[in-house]
Amino acid sequence: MEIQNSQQSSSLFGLAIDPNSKAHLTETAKWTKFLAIAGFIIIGLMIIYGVVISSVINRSFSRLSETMSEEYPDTYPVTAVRTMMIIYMVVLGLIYFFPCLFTLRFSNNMKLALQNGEQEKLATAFQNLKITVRYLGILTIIGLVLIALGIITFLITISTMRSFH
Amino acid sequence: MEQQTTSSSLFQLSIDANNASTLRSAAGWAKILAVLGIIFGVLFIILGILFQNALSNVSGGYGYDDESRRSLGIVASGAMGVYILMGILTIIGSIFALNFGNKASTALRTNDSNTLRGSLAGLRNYFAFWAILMILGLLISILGIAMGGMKGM
Repeated sequence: MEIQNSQQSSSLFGLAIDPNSKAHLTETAKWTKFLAIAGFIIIGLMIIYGVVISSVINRSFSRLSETMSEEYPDTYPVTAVRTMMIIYMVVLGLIYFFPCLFTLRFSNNMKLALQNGEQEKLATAFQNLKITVRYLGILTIIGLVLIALGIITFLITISTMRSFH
Repeated sequence: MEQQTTSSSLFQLSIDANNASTLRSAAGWAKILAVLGIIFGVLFIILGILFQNALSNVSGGYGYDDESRRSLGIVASGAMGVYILMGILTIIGSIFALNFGNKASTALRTNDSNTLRGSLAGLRNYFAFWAILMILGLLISILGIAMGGMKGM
């Protein structure tokens, strides 16, 4: 009779989240929360690092331009390097921000769905998981293209250097 | 007792049509991510070997004494080791993603709860793996900063 019942429920609702699946999802939500929070801290540290390094570069170049002011009267390169450094860190931070945000949303919604048995929260959690995985997939494609370009440039440089020798 | 079993299965969370569609899409992207990740890992390993060879070629040229050659050799081997380690770790992470993707697709196609359980375990392993790596990375960074600070003092 129980088998009949379980067969009936599975045909009514399709796949169900049983206690084992629930345990896996609870653990996943904990790990993703950790990853998201650690990610946000790393983004903050990256931006602080960018500002500190750019000010160090600025100070070093200022000293250099003071000693060699006749040869290098223009401070344009210093400002350009500093700005580039800050832009680089902000862009990296922005790229890293979105997967952290989506994993945090996945974690929060999954936790609520498992605690209260809310079907809507479960749907939102899976939606955020899908967005995270898609985002990471697209980032990996871009990374692979850049690596391929890097390898081609590297091989061309090596062959040019060999031809000079 | 039988009624309790029925009611608990009626009110537990389920993978409805909406969730199934989302999960299927997530599984598809996870498979793409995994395959690309494996390619990424292999490229990392190749890049490490290329880098080591390039540095060895440079140190083998004129104008380098034995001491410089030895130092460059150590740097080249270290860099190759780091690249190979990064490649292997990327491949392991990708295998977890592939496991999740394959099992989730199969579970949704066959309506099999056991396979769904396996896929969710794969998803947990994937995130746990990267989280543990992040903890290790942060610990190594903190140690590096502390050691750098102590040397500076």
